[in-house]
Amino acid sequence: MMPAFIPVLGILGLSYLSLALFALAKFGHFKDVFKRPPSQWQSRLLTLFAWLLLIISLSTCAHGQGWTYGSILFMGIISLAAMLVILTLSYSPRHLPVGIVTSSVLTGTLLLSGGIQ
Amino acid sequence: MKETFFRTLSWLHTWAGLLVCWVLLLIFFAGSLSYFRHEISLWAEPELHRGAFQDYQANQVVSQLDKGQDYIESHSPAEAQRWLINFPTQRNPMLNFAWQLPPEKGQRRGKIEQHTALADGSDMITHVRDSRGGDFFYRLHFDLHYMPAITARYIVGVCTMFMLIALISGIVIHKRIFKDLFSFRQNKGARSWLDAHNVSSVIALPYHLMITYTGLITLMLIYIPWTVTTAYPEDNQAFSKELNPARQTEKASGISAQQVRLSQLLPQVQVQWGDAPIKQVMVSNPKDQNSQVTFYQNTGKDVTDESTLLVFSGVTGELKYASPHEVSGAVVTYDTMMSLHTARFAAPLLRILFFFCGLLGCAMVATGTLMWAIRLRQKQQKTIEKGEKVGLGLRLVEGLNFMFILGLPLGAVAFCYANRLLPADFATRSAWEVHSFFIALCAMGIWAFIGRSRRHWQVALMLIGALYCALPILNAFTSPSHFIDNIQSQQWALVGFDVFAALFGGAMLFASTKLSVMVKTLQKPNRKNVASDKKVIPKSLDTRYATKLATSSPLEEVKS
Amino acid sequence: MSQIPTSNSPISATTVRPLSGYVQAAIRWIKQERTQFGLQVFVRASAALLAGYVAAATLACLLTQVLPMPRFESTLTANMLAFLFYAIAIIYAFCVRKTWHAWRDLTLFSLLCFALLKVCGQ
Repeated sequence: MMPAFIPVLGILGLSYLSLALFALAKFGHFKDVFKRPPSQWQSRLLTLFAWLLLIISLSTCAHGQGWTYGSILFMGIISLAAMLVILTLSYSPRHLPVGIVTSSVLTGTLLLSGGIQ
Repeated sequence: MKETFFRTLSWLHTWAGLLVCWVLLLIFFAGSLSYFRHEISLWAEPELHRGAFQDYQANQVVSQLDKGQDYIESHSPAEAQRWLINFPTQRNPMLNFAWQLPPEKGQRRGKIEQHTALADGSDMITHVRDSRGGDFFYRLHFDLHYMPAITARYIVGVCTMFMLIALISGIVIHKRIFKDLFSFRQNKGARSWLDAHNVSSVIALPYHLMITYTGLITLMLIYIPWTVTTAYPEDNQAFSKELNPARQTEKASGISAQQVRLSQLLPQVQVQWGDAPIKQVMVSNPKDQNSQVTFYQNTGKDVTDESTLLVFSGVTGELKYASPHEVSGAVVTYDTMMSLHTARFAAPLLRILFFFCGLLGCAMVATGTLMWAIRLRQKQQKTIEKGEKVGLGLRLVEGLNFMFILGLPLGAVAFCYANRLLPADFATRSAWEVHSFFIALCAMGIWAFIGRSRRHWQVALMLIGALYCALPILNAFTSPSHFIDNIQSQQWALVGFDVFAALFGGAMLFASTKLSVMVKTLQKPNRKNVASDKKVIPKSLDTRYATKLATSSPLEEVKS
Repeated sequence: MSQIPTSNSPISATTVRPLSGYVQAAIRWIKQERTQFGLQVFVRASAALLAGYVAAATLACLLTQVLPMPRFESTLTANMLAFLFYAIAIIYAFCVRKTWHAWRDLTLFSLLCFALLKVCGQ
């Protein structure tokens, strides 16, 4: 049997990705990370993708764990993901892209290997 | 008008939060620990750590039931009110045979005598140290201690309502918190505390709202009993009978009767439940005409707090009641809310996340009160610099902050040390474990009298952090199985306890070193004026942020 | 939010005319903006906590009678909603335009609910 934390890890990666994009859509944080302000359409695109990813991660969680249990679990995961994004942003904002790439790779691998069901 | 409204609400947010903050901190802290009630209880009984662990085995149930019934019949006194057979579950991986004695004078519940079977079935563990374990934190969460439970529940209820008000008003006045969600500016004095307060509130906001409201729901019949008296004018008991139909046990008749064999009831159970695991079998009024046998199902991850159970006659073996009775929307909502609060359904991972959110709640309350103290000090900055005494209010707030923010973790760790270091056959040991919690809390209160500068915070944090880090070592010396053993036998609850203690201690040590760096950098520019009061030096540099603070305090922020 | 007046003038007045001096000081104290704000908050908070509780409880009691469900379910539902009502009453007490309206409205609301409850109960 697969350990229970594997799918949760995948959803954590997705939520981290989504929240990191939300943060990047904000003027200040974008500037902290890339040393230049975002253009308006960049900001909008980031927000759009962030929402999309958030919905995907919620539905993955609900799909895998059942709607009741899944949505409760999702609330907990998103708090943890937000904490991680905040820690990245405040202690080393330049590494946010690294976090984004890591979480995408992680989530992608788990998705492809069928880890998230 | 709008400004008055916001001013009033922000005033309300500040005071609703601050008036009850220390009690709230206690409730949050105890509640967070209660998520691991059974795990803490397991840790607190090291006699069970070797040889007793086993998993639920469906094919063993018949023999285990037979063995349990025989064992209890031959070992329990005739006046025992209940027999209990607890099957292994994920959180309590042991087979227990227990019986409850009639309550002594002045007690509501009788004492439960519990014996645990060794996994190989060769023998029973009969002597386990007397400890309240995780139950202490569970009760502390809503019954507090050293006072009648009902008084405590009213106090907790009022605090919870204040918390709800603080949450709602906080959301209304601090609309910007959602915009600044990801901002945490470190090393910026009061600004950082405000950020930390925002972050800890917002990222777990759904949890905070949920836990506060469902907390009120769990005790709603105490807080607003009028609905029941209105709807059931003739008989208040009728409502609770409908709420907990299975809890109504018949009184013993006094006529003795032949007890039915428990294992003979199993086919009937299987007809109802199939192969669903059984959590507990309870026999009330054994060997009596009115004896009842109740089977409890292990409901696993279902979001429900109501036990799924079957009640049989203990004499004839006929099925008398099967739950769930017809379920309506209202009952489901109520049940879901209750289970959300108690989180009994949560698998370990979700439990950890709940615990994490609970700690964020602690952080929210703590940062709120710390910010209050900083603002008070800011206000009195000028008079303090003139060399006048610090106001009583400020000293009180700072002292209570010191006492509760540091005293609660110290109390919990003191409880663990008392559990392992008090002699196992000491008569009132479980009471003294609890006392040690409060003694530690009071010790921090006394420390706060002596001093509560950053230096004191740093030393206290280091001390508490070291105590937490030493818990795995203590466990290794006072329990038959240490950390590596537990990993090998896959006892993740015990492993997790050690890991959590080490992580928590590590975090405290980290905070302590951070503080010491801060104290050093803050003291440097002030080295010249040696004459001024040492206690004031670390704080006096905050004047740099005084102007910033004026615009960043919750009261001022809304105006902009 | 009791703020003791800091100015010294009323004290000299009290030595000459004790009673009116106190009255004047009291009036001055009441007219202070801080005091006004404090009193306003006190009245609203007490209305929120006391009248709000009564209003929420009576409304919940009324609901037990009028909700189209069996008695047991309506009681449960009403009791669960009561805390929401309480929270709304508290917010209302702080939102309403005039301070004393907080007491007036919540009391009137409770009375209305109580009357309806009596009507429905028969």
